[in-house]
Amino acid sequence: MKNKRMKIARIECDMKQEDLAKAVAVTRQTIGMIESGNYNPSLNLCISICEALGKTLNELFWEETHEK
Amino acid sequence: MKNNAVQDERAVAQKNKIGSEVCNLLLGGLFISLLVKEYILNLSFSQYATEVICLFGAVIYIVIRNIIAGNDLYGVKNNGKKSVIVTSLLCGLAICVTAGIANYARYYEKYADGTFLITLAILFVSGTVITFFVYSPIYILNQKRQTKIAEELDKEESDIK
Repeated sequence: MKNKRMKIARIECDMKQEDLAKAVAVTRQTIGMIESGNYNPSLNLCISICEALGKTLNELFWEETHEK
Repeated sequence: MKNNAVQDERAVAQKNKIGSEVCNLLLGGLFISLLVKEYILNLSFSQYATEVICLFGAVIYIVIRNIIAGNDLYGVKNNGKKSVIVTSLLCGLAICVTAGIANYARYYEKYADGTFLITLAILFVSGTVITFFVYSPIYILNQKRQTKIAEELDKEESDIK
């Protein structure tokens, strides 16, 4: 599933994929794959992304379908 | 019917890691076996050809698989050409030293003054040139793949704007 919220949060921070990749020490390809839903990041990477974008895990990675 | 089979991701990751370690140990063992047969036991090539084929096969597989998967083999951006030249020179030096030692141990009686130095120079130059011609196509393929991935990512990135 595509992670549009992460893409939007990144654009709100005026960051390119390359900038975010540098900020969390991964390749641009990894960021692209997370945004397109082709890669499941580890919890540590999720936390780093949240810190870089100033968001919480819920705001970026929690899907409404997970709510009971 | 719901599948309740346990898919413990920690256990799966651990198994993959163990598999990778075994593979590294095997490749290391093959390399040591190759060196022992070549330099200590002085066996002919046909007696260690299997090791050479397996090692080359493994290296080719690792390189091709990484390029297809899109992993940047050279890592450092804009420094690839320099790394190709440095690696070629280092490989040339390694070939010069290892083959030079083996050569001298076998044929030291036949070396007259200066002949051995010429042999070393030929070994260094040929080792460097061969490595360069093997390494360069890999570098070009890797660069092409990286450029293609970057274009795809650019396209995806511009789609949302």
